[in-house]
Amino acid sequence: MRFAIWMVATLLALPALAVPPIEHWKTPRGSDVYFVPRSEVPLIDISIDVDAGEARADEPGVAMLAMHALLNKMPERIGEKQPWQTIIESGNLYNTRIDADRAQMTIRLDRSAGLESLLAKEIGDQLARPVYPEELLRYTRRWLAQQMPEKVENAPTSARLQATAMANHPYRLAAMATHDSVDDLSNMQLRRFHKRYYTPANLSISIVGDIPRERAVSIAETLTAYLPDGPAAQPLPAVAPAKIDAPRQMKAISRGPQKAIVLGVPLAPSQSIDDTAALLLGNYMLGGSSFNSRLFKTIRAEDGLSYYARSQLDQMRSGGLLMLTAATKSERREELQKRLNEEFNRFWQQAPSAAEFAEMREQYLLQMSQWGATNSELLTLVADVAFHKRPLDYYSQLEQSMAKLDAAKLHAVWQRYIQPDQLVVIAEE
Amino acid sequence: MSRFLFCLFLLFPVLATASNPLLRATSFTLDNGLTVVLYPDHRAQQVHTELWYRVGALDETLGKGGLAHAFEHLMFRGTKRWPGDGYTRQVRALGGSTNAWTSADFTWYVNTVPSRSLDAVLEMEADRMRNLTIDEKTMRTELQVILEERRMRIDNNAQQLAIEQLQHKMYGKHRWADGVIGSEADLQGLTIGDFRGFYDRWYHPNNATLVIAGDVDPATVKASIQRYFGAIKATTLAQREPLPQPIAEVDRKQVLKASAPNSMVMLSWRLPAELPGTDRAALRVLAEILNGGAREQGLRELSAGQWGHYSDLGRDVPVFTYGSQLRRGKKWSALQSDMLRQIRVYQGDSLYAEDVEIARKKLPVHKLFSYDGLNDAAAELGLYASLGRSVADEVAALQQLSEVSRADVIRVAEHYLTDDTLAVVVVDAQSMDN
Repeated sequence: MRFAIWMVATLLALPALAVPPIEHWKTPRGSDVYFVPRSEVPLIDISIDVDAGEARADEPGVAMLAMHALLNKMPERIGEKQPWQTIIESGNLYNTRIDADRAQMTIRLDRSAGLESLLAKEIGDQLARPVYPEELLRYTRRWLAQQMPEKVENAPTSARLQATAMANHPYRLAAMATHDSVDDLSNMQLRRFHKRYYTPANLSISIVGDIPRERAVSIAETLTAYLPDGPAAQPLPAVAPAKIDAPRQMKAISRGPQKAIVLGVPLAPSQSIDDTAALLLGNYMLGGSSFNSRLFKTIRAEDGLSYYARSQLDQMRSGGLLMLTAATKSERREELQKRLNEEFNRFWQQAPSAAEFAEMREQYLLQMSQWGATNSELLTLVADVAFHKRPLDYYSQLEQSMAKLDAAKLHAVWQRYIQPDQLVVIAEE
Repeated sequence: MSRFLFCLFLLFPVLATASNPLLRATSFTLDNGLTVVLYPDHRAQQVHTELWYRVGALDETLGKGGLAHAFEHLMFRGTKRWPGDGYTRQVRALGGSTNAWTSADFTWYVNTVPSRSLDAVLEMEADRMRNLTIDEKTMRTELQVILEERRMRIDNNAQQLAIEQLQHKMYGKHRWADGVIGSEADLQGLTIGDFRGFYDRWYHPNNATLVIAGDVDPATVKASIQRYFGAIKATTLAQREPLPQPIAEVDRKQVLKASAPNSMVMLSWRLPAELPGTDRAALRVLAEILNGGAREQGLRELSAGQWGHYSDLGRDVPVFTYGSQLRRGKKWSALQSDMLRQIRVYQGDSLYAEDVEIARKKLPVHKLFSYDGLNDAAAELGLYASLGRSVADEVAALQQLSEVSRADVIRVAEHYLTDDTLAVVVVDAQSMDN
């Protein structure tokens, strides 16, 4: 009974979340739409999220190029602007981001310009029927190829780590694109990829901003009106760490005097929101909370070993990746790697003390109460709900799960998901 | 002109002066000289505070490079009331986050916390304005951290390294040659006495501006500010040393061979300290035109991305910068030639009127978008107040962008972007495999 009373008291004491209620509906074509009206600033933010990340790519780079070149349109008249030019030349913003899981387009509009309907029509047409005209594609392809490494071994250290840690999973494909693989992609490959994955059931729309719901409904319908028919993509296989005998250590070349060390371990997909809460809080305590994390306190504040020392937990649809990173001068890199390993092992082996746990959970809950304070933060939260098909009250549920956690439960979840024998280390030399 | 573009020009509004959200800000000054700026925004129960000190790398002396920035690090290392990491620990315990920045002109300390904890962070910020404790061991540890920061930002970054080397050429044996973070030799030589002297010299209420943005009630917060900061005494501030003039006779070109994905060319023109408002506006538009990408076909073939930058928000003389990354397999010398040719195009009749029109529309909208974040709005207000400029004047300057003509852009390009003030930095990328 005492426990029950304590639980009620804890739940009642939770601070109010800043994330406003999220509205949801489906377009006539079957795409999910998520909407939060917010009128304090005259902005409209839109996120279009497609289950068409690099893990879906048959050829490295095809998911990236399919999204980056999506708004390339053959002009019907001399001097006609490209849809992306129309957006950015009016000062509005247009961005694309493609990772292993997801292809995302975000658009920020000045509400007072009244451009949203026009742009929805232009973008909707391109989303449905991109021709990827060769005359324009060659510019986008060349631009993207320039961003890619000459060979896979020269990819950024964190990307190499993901590819190695996910060696048995399609998520490894996110780090496989090179200059030449992108440069070889053809118009037909892009169109094939688009037809297969840019379907109504594979795409969601998130809208945050200063418009009434009726306008949001209209924008979402216009964006999705002519998408090609097709089923939702089959879920990717779950990340299932395979048993290996010894930790994998690899080298990377760095010409500078400072050398980075990156440790990483793959995670199976979270089985419940309670597990997710434990993993999030565990990462926060280990290295995700800047000044107050264990990595920061030991490696930076006590040892002066590194300017940054942090951990990052990427939770994708079919699994995740925990990464620890820090960097130091050549002479101290072995010491740094030893310290990172020690902190990783210490967190895995011993449950945090009740005092440390309580302090960090309180901080996390207070920070959650401020999530979504800006429109761009709010759009990210809403788009995550959309892409991961989470319940509308997901953040409230997460807060409740966090409040129910204790140090022992957190440690048990951490040990269940984090397998030290799966550790991959990449050390720059 | 397409139907779509026609609609665009018809509908696109210029950000009206009266609608600029920064004009919501109010300000006052305490008796001890602390300037306070309040900016209400009630979207969430959150406040963002920034305490700006008018001291930066330009106030250091030769041989003490990096002192201002290193001191910023020590401001998180304890007071009598909050010893050790007590400051950061307490901000986190309140559910907040904290950080700080140092520039050539200023050092500013930021906190974001739930609005109910505003008083607590004000009290802590006031505490460390005068009650910092600095010990030798902590200082030595923090200097190691700063050397790692230097390796990350400068020594491992070919572009920054090249800029630093160019500054050495331009300023010679002067403190400013090393930039904000300082050289390893200078950092290793800093003493406890340097830090204590620096603190006593510059960290006073009459050398500071406090900005509070977010879920704040201007009517009630004044009492809190007075309670925590009002008792701190003002002091007579030290005279600032005059800024150095660049050395005119040196070869202002630096080519650095470095391991980098792409080569890069950066052209930099030093401008007169005082510029008319119309010229400042036209230079901003010109920088935005360059941000829009290369117009000339030859340059497009060579450049993997280009940018322009102009700023006059500081004590140092204004600089106009034009940079571009080289496509792999091309020669940087060709890129440099084409970039200079591009500037000559803008100095003549070949400048497209449409480019001017687009650039002057983009700038105010980008500003409007930046106000989504409390931190961006607060930083802008802190900067204006620290420079002694009024928000109304700066908002009016923004409005002035809409009046920039094609002739204005051609005129400033001709007048200011001349060979005698040009410095060139080249990063000649070497293969990662060599």
